[in-house]
Amino acid sequence: MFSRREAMKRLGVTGGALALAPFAGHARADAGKDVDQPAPRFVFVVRSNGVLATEIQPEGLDRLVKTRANGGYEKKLHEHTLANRTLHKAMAALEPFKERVTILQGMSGKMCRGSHAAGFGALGAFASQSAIPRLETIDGALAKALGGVFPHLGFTMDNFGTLVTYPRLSALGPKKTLPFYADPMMAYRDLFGTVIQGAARAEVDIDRNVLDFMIDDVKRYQKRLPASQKEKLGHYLEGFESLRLRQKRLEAMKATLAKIAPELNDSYTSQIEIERVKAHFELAGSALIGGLSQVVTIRAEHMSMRLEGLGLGDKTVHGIGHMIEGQKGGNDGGPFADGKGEFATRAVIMDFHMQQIAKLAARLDAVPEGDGTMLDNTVILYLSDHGDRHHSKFYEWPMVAVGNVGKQFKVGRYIQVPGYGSVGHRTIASLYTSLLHAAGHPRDTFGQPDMSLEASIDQTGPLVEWMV
Amino acid sequence: MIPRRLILLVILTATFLSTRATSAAPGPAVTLDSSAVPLVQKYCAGCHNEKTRKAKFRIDDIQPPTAHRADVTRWEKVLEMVSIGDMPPDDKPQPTRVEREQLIAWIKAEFAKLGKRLDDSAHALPHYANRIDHTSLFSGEHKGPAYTSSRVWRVSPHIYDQMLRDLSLNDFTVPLTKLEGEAFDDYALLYADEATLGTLIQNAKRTAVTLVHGRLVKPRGAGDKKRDARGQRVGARHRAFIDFVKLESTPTQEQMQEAVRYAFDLLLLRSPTDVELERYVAHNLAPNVKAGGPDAGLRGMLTSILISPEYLFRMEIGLGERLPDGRRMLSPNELAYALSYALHDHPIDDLLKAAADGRLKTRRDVEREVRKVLTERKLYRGQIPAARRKETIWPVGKLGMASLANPRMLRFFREFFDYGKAPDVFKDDSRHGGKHNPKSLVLDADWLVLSVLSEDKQVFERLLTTDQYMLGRGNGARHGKNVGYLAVYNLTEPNWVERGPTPMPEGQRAGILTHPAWLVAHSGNFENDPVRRGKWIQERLLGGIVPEIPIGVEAQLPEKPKQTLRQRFEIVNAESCWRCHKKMNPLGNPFEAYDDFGRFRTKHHVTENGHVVASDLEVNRGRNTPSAEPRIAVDTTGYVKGTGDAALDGEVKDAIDLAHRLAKSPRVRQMFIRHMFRFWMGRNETLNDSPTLMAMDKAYTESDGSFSEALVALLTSDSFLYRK
Repeated sequence: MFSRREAMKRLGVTGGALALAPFAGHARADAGKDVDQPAPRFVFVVRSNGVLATEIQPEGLDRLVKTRANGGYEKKLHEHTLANRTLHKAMAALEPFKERVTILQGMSGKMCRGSHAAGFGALGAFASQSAIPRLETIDGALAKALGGVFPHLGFTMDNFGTLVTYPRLSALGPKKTLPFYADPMMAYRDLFGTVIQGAARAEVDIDRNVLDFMIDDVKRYQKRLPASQKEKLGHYLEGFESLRLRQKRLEAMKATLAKIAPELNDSYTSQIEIERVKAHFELAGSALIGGLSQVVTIRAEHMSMRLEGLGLGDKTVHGIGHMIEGQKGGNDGGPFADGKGEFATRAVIMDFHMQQIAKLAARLDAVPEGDGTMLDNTVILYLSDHGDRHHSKFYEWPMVAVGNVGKQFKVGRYIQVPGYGSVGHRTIASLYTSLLHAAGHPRDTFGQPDMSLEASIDQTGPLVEWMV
Repeated sequence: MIPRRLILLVILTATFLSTRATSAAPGPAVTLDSSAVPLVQKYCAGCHNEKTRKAKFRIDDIQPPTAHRADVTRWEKVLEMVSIGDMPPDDKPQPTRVEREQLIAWIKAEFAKLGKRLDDSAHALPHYANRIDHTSLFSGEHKGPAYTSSRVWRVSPHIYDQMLRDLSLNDFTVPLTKLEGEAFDDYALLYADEATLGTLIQNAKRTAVTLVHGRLVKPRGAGDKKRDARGQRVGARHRAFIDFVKLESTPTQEQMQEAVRYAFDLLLLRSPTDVELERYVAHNLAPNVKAGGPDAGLRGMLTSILISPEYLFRMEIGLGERLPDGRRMLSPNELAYALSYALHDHPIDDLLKAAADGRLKTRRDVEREVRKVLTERKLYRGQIPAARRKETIWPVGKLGMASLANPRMLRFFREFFDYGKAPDVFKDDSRHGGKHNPKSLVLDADWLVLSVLSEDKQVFERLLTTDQYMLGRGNGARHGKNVGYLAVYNLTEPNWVERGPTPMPEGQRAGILTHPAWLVAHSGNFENDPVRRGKWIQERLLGGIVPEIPIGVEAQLPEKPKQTLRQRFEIVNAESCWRCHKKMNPLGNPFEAYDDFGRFRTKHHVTENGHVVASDLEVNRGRNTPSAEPRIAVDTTGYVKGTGDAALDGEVKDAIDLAHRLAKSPRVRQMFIRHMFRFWMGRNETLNDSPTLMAMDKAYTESDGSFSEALVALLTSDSFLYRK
């Protein structure tokens, strides 16, 4: 086991990060909120192929994971401390943060639909099978509530060369899909463009040129219109002006941004998919620390891609999902050539994700804020966009949380709510409701209720089992 | 919800329109200086006095607002009630139309004296147009002149979608908003703002990359009629761009001008003016190239055009011939676009060509060209809902397909009847044995519309009454395997006609309003929604006005599982609810003949413990053998009231009776015409538009109900052609 100091060393966090203290909490000062209340931050790390209930189970609690077919789920609430237990070996990277980690088991998400991915439902708790979201997702709702220079930042693994995409994952509201950066360089330019020097500076300058030109262009166009129609163009003009204002804000933050901007390295332009994901995590960390955003979603896997960088390039992520140890897994379901079966393969992927999360957590933990660190005002939620497996029926939706957003969540705990259909059972909607409570924007419900659950099971209110 | 900024805009527009309407149309004489208090005393104080205080409201002591400012609130209520015609109630003496108008004008004038601006934010929204007196609109007393204010009209989400698609951009999102909660998606009052701009820029940047580095497409031959103007250009190799990017030295002034010219021609379908050329080179391309070289520089310039106002707004200023009364006709170029977007989602090259050749100058020109487009029915690429790519209806197959050459026609019906949102109503499929397929239902309804349109006779009447549906276009071959799908129509496989009209079981269906797509779209998650259905009929077919849910009303039905929906709805009979609900429930109740999946029924199913449920599946859930069940007969009676049409008012037996009655009513037909006007003009009708509406109605009736004739009448009307 590592100490926290060792962990930071191992993860390459330098002491220099401490110098960031002066602009920690930038976002809150920006929003003019109570200075004593540091800005809450929310990070969603979303993977594919489900998170198996078994693969996040701490040592000694295996008996709690049961299958639906084999006698049904646990009917009672279980809560244990993690202090005297070792995390699952695929989660070893989080050992140093164990007292900040919560394992969340037993929640369902049967209001969702979809095969391979629940689409917007995963973060939205509603049935969504189309490219058009019907409701907001939790990251969208938090972004709207918290605002900021970039209210929501999305990063997604995608094919090399893709700049921005609209994965069916996050939405600001009905029909308002949120964009995700696929290209780390593009994200870097948008977020830290003001500090770029050299050749890469060009695109930033051109963007500014274009904005200036457009402001002039719209004004000229406006002049030709009758008075009643000028207003209409006025809204459009305001859009450009506000983007320009954002750029100016970023320019004003230049000194800060220069300190926290990630150092550009090969990951940003790498053809290897996981390298770009590493860059995404770095960008996310810097954006959070710099106060550019309070809500980040990282889609860390992509169904149709191959994880060459993890040595798993023989199968697509989808193919990996079809590996079911001890069973015929369907298409492409056999083990890898080196004999690596389902669990070993998944462990490699999980380890990669956990290392990135640990690195991010360490960076946030290195920045003092309030009477703790930035990590203390953050929660990083690790989950899958498809419940508990590759072909999930959404009876279970295991998650891992790091951080407690200002002591609002229990940490260092293992929490398993009563299984599907049992008294006291909870859905992912409750968990998302909790996040809104933690953000200071409480609501009773989120998304859509699971209509096949008995009325006696309360689907409203936050996940009190998790909340302090 | 209406964005706040929109409201402001709407206020401006509405004020603009209303002043127009009153100044241009000499209505009944209104004496603004005389107090209206005696009128109120005469018609209102009988119930709203100190003693009775009906609805906890008294008016007998009211004073003019200018004399007693505290009375403003009460006058606002009076204004609203009198405007929508809800007061005095039917069984009490009614003021004359002139008296009503006098009262309204007086209150507004009083408010104006106080400097009070009325909250008329909703006035420009489609549903508000019903407040214009129907009888006046079709009375012939208003002679116009009709025109539309000069305007820019933000491209619709559909047009935008098509523009990017034509530029070979895939996987993008359309950020342009629709008019939510209203009859039609696209209205000229919409705008693009900051929230949409971020995505517009991303799309533009990506399109620029495609234009400069995208795959090279073999140019289409001249004989390929499927390509529209824009499509033909972008399908070709952009040699101009490739050469520009490859330049090793700094591009010369001429080379930059050439690139700008090419880009204008490609994206805006016109040449730049000298000023534009100079600006685009000096302030855009040149500095961009200097900052990032020819490639990045060129992309910057293309991005600019792709987010320019001209790319995103349709220009309808009225640049053509000026009439002595100040109205100006749309210029040939403006006309080419206005007509193109009336029928398609992108410019129609025949119309652009007609404009360029000087064949689109007069009303007669417009009529000729419109008729040509309508009859030639060229198969342009087009889709119905931009939002649902998978359901794109491509012009393939036989029956009705040619109609899709003009996709906006089908879209009108989808939006007017509003059955397209059936897939948005979430249902627990297990109550329907896993057979609920709302997307296919919508396609079935589309097909029905198309088949009626292809004959173009008594279009509206047939859409309200036909008992022959078109089935199965949605999942075509799947029907063979998915026989269960037909169950919703109470049909089995042998009764199904694969490529033609399928007769519905006798006495069970009449037109779109009894079509499962419409019924589902106007239902709740678990049960029917007589309120929504009744509201639809009241607003769209009868031209009535239903106020928003009043503050303080908790619009919740009691959970009483042992009662039928209709029994549970009895709570709205309370006087305070009934004032509004009487406008909806009696019209929605006849549709109790169908459950919330749109299945015909004569009885309600009841479970062992007495719960009323929609289907036998729910009764027998988890059982091996179905149990015998008690049932309750369905009550499908309702009534129509207060339409001013004696043949229409009265008791109705069921939904079929209702639909047939509606189809016979001239008022209902005219409401249909009014909605056509709103859809194609992108604005509400005013009294000035009366001649246009009457001409449309006349064209429709004289042609035995031809939808195309009504449309031609609209597209050649003063309302469409003139701006001021």
